[in-house]
Amino acid sequence: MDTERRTGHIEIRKLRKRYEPHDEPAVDDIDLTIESGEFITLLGPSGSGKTTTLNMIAGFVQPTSGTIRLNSRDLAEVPTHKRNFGMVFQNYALFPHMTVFDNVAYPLRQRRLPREKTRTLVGDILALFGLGGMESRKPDQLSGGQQQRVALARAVVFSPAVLLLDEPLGALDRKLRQALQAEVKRLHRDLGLTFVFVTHDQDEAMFLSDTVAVFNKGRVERVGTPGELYDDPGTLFVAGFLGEANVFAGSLVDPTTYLWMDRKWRVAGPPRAGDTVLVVRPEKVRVFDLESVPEGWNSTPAVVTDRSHLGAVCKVDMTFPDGATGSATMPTDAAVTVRPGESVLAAWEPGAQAFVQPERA
Amino acid sequence: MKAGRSSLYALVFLIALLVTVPTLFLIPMSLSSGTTFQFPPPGLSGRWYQNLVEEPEWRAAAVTSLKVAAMVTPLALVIGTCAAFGLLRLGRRLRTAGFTTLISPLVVPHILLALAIYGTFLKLDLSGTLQGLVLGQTALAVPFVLIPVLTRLQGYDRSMTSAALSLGASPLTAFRTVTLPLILPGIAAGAVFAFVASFDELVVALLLQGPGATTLPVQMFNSVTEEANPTISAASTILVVVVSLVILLVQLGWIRTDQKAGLHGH
Ligand SMILES: Nc1ncnc2c1ncn2[C@@H]1O[C@H](COP(=O)(O)OP(=O)(O)OP(=O)(O)O)[C@@H](O)[C@H]1O
Ligand SMILES: [Mg+2]
Repeated sequence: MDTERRTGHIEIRKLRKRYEPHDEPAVDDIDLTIESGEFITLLGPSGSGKTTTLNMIAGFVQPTSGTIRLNSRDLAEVPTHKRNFGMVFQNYALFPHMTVFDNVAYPLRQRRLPREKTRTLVGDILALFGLGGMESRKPDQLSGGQQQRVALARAVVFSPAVLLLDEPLGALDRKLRQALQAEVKRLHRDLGLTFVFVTHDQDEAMFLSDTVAVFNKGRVERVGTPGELYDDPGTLFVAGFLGEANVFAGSLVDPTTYLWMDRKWRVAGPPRAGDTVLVVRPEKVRVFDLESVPEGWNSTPAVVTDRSHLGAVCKVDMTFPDGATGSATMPTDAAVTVRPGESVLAAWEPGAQAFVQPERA
Repeated sequence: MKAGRSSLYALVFLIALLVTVPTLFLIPMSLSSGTTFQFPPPGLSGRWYQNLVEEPEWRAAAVTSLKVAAMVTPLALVIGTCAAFGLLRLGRRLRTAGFTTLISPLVVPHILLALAIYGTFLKLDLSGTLQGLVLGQTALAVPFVLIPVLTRLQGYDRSMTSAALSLGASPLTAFRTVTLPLILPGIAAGAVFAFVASFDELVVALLLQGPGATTLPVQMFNSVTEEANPTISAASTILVVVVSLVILLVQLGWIRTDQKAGLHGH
């Protein structure tokens, strides 16, 4: 493959898209910096503006305002076909009237590569994707996974500056999806290319990405590594979208004390201004008989509603005094004594809790 | 299940017979050696075909028909295809309005249209001219292009175009290498229908006829009212054969491209 490549650094500033005649913008003044060679995932629920953002980067959709720069160059006047971005679509978008070979050779022919060179490049990339021997097949003679591999091969064969992927694995079943996730991750490592990946699957985002940008209602709610976002979600929306969380909306009475219902909890580090909601991940919560909570832990009474085996761990569902539901996951042997209907104390170390902003209206 | 299938085949076969048998009677009649429409013909001869070739009006009419159809087809193709692309870009309401307007020649009684065209073309001095015939029949042929092309386009996945653009194709190249091949069967069907619509159109051609602008169907109509002899059967046979051949050829080609494109029916 071509080694002479300049991978893309993308800078998005105040990017906005409003589809006429709607009032609500689909993408609402977002700022995002994508480092060269980074694997970034745009994660968010349906309709949060991920595809619109990706399509503006690709040049399919004209921004209402704002700028997108590639390696400091403003892309406003650059049409899609001159951007040199690879794109993978959810429905593959393979050309049905062309063979696998012609599909993958298509971008090379647009670039007027010599015939010989085209043949070698296509052969190499098909071999890399385990598609050797399928050159003369038509897309409808391939399985879903093979089609998606052809689509990936076609999108990277011309050494694009950036690879854009819009839910590329969404149509595949779970097993295949996991296999292809691993392949996409390996591909990113091998190519060293900037990947912008759209998904609404949080596990997929966590597994694949260097950086996750969480979208909500047309805005970027938070950007960070999967670990950062999980441990310190920043907003209630992110806490709920990325993994599960037990949520307690109380108030800070002094820098070291948080008051929820009639419980006074210790605060390990003082929260940022505006972060008023306390969240705890289920795996940080332990369940105790009444009165046996370790010294220094925060706790609340709870009623166990269900206990389910998830293989390695066991999940205990509970109802808290405010009526909210929550859960704790723990090693199976730690949960053997917990029975549905039982009153318990759910407890966690103060260092395991995080403070987040409440949901914006 | 099996019985149901064979009775279905029988029914389809019967309907096919019902539709085609009257036409098939034409052929022996056109080969008749008699001078009337006698059936069965008293003997066989090729005299009516010879007549068709040798009599100047008949020859001229056949040539005119071919010329007109050859001009109507590309005109209707361009207008109908562009209209299909345009309609798809409109909002729902405008699209429906535009579509209904464009296919109105199929709905409005033929004679009314013909009269309207005749009246207008008289004023424009287009009556009795080849150009007039071409224009009038193009209006009638556009829906026959619009409908198959639009159907094909509605089944066309726009992300194909996006993919081509992202792979470095200019919009024009993307159209030429991806969109066009995928909607080609629709355009081909449109071309056949447009050709046929023009080639055997009578009413407009009848009103707009003039010296040098008399088509085969008009010539047949005129000859029936004047001197009815089996020349008309010979002409009809040729009409049927030309039209069937065109349709057949395109259908064969269509099945092939469909298999190639991996598109199965619509
Ligand atoms: N072409 C369009 N015209 C009008 N509104 C649109 C258009 N495309 C998207 N929208 C609207 O913009 C908003 C964001 O859509 P977008 O497709 O970017 O969401 P998404 O995050 O990709 O969602 P999903 O996970 O369902 O793909 C939605 O409310 C959607 O209805
Ligand atoms: Mg989307």
